[in-house]
Amino acid sequence: MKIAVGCDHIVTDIKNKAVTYLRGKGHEVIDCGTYDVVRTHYPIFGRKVAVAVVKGEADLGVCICGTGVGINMAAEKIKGIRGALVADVQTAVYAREELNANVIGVGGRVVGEGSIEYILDAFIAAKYKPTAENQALIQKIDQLIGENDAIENDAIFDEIQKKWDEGFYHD
Amino acid sequence: MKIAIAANEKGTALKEKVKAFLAKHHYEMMDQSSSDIFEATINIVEAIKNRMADKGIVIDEYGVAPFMIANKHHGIICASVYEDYTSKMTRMHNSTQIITLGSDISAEKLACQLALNFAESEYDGGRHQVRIDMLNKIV
Repeated sequence: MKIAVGCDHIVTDIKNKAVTYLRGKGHEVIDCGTYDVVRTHYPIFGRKVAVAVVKGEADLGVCICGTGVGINMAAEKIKGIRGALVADVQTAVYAREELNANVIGVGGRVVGEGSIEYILDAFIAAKYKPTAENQALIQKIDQLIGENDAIENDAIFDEIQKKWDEGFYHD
Repeated sequence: MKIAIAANEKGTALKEKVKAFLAKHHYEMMDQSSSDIFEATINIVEAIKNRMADKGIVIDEYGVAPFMIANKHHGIICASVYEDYTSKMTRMHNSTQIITLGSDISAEKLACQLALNFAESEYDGGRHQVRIDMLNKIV
């Protein structure tokens, strides 16, 4: 299977291990970054994974940040994504079987390496089980976002990134 | 502080426990439950958007469907929460207004503590705001 993987700078090492693990299992992995530990912003990488999935370049996406919240919630804001942020195998399987989830996420600081491997294996192996009820819910979820330029516009964050680079945002 | 809470049938028993626990900690609780998880989640999203509540909690079997539904909305940040660290950090770093809990995943004591941790935490702002501004660009 083709899998897009993304992370922020907090968990680059954990993402790299996940990429190696998935490749070892025979999957084709698109590593969306980030690639180092320089402070960056999770929406950039959540969007990259989501875009790869909705454009069909990847079958599924994997998003990891410290708690998993930031990057997975960012991916979720792309039309066509149904992402699940999980900490266990059961929830991951449910998300795929019942909601046809196409992105799976974990918090790299809160879920251990072994659990992450189990979650990825189970999510990838699970199959959507369509019912009239879950199809209706999925359709409602997919219709919540109208057409916008978030998928095509790769420069969407440029203006905000420029403000960051200029020191506009500080603690 | 006012907290809006909602559950479907599968989340009702846990929701009642969480609601009573937070009320005991002097939070004003607003129950907007519905048998339909889509509707229950939209109720909480609307309560946040209309400033009827400061924070929101949605409970179903796994907490996954409400995570999907809530995050599709502009300006809404929703976190699925399973453990203590995320329950405290997500408001501080992500400016989260809504959490989801899974009634089949988290038992009463854990779920109540996670809800309280979220209720007590506040947004740090500062460098974290750049990410929120980016999210608002996406949708």
